[in-house]
Amino acid sequence: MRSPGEGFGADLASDHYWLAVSTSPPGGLRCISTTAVRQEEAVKGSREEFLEQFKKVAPSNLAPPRFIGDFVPKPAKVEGTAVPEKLTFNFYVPHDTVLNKSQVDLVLLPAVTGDFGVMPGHVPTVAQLRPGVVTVHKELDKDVQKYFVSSGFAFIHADSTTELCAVEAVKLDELDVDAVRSGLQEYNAKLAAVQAKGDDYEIAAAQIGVEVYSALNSAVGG
Amino acid sequence: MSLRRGRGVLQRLQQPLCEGLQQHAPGLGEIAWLSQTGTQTRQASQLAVKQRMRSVQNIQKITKAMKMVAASKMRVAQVNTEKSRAIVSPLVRLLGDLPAVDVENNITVPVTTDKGLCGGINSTIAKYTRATLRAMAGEGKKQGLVVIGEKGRAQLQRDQRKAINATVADLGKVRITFSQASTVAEDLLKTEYDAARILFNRFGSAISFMPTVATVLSPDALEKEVEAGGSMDLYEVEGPDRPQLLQDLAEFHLAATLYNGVQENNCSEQASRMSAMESSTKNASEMLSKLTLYYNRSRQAKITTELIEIISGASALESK
Repeated sequence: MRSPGEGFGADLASDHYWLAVSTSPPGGLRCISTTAVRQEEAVKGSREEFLEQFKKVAPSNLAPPRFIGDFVPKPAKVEGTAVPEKLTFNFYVPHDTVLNKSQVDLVLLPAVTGDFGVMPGHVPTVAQLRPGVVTVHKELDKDVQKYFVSSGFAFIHADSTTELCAVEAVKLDELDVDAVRSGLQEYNAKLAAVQAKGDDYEIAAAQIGVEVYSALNSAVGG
Repeated sequence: MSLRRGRGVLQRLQQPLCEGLQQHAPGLGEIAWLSQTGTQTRQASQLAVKQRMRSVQNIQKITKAMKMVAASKMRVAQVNTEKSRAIVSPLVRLLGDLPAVDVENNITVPVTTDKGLCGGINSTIAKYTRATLRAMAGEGKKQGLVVIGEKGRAQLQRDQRKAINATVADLGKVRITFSQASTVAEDLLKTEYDAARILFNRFGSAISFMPTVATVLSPDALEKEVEAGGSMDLYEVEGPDRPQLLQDLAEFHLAATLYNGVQENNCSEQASRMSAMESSTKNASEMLSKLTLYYNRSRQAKITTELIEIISGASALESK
C-alpha cells in the first residue's frame, strides 16, 4: 500500500512529469502529471486490447499492425524544474514544416477570440485560429518573422512547447499587394451576387473568401 | 540389322566432329544428339523460340521503364511523405491514439492504390482490413468500409460487399493535395462514424512498408474520452465553446490523418512497384538467357545434323 505522498513522488520520478514546480501549486502539478500518465496508459491499454482482439481473428501468418502513435515523437523530457528561458515553437502545415523546434521568445497568434501572445510558462491552451498574422519573435523585437495563416489550431503544452498547425502559411513579404486587392474586390462582388440568389453554400464560400482576403489586406497594410 | 549398322557409321563419323566442337565450344558437342528430329519441325520450333524471345525482350523493356518511372516518382513522393508526417504528431499527442476504442459506429478506411503491378501492398491492406473488421465486430456495433483506391475496392467487394459505404478512386492521379484529403474527409463525415480507422502502408524504406492503423474519433467520442480522463481536460480553450472546437479539431484531425495516409501509401506504392519491376526485369533477363541458349543449341544441332547427312551420304557413296 502506498500513501498518497508516495504516489505523488512516483509520478514526479516518472517520465511524464513536465511542469515546473515553482510556477504551479502542487495540487495542479499532480493533476497535470497524473492526467498525462492516464492518457498514456489509456493509449497503451487500447493498443494492447486491439492487438489482442486482432490476434484472435487474424490468420496466424499476419504480423500485428503498427499504430500511428508509434511513430509520433515523444515530448522531450524536461530536466530541472524552472521555466525555460525560450519557448520551443513548432509550426506545421500539411505539406511542409515551417519551423521545427525553433527557440523563440514570443509568439503572437490570431485566435478566433482575439490575438494573444505566448511566452515560456504559458498556461496549457488549445486555440482555434482565424485568418491572420502569426508573429514569431525569435529575439524579442529584434529578430521577428511574420507569417500569414489561413486558419488552423495552436496547442500550447505545459512544457513550454507550442505547436501550430495551419492549413496554409506564407511569409508576409511574399504576398502580392495588388493580387490581394483584386482578390478582395472579386470576392466582394461574388458575395453580393450570390446573396441575391440565396444559395447557402455559395454564400458561405464567398463569405470565407471575403474574410480571408480582408485579413490578407489588413496584413499587407492595404 | 541395317539400322544398327547405320548408326555405327554415324557414330564413327560423329566422333571427330564431336571432338572439334568440344574444342571450340566445350559442352556443346553432345547437343547434336539431343534433337534428331526432322528438319521441318525443328525450324518451326526455332521460329516459336525466336518469337518468344522477342516478346520476353519487349516485356523486359516495359518493366525496366516502369521501374525507372517508379524510382523517380518515389523520390518525389518520399520528400512529400516525410513533410506530411509533421502535422499529425501534435494532433496525436493531444488527442491520443486509441485503436480499440469501444464505440457503436465503426468505420474502416483502407487506403490502396489505383493501379496494379506494385507487389503485394494492396493484398496486405485488404488482409488487415478484414482482420480489423473482425476484431472490432461485436454486439450492437456497426461496421462500415470506405475504400480508397480501385485495387482495394476490387479485392474487398468480393467478401465485404455489404460493409462498403463508399469508394474513392483516382485520388493521387496528378498530385495529392490537402483539399483533396478534405473532400474525402467530408464524405467520410457523412457516414456519421464514431471511430474511423484508417489503414495504410507506412513508408519505412524502399523495401519496407508497415501496415499502420490510425484512429480518428468523432467529436462525441472525443468528448467521452476527455471525460474518461483524456489530456484535453488540461487545456484551456481559446476560441469557440468546447463542443464546437472539438468538432472542428476532430475534422481537422481526420483530414490531416487522411492526407498523411494517402501520401504514405503513395510513396509505398512507388517503392513497391520499383522493387516488383526490378525483380521482373531480372526474371525476364534470366528467361531470355535461357531461351537464347536453347535457340543457339538447336540452331547448331540443326547445322550439325545437316553436315552429318551430307558427310554420311558422301561416305556411303565412297564405301561403295
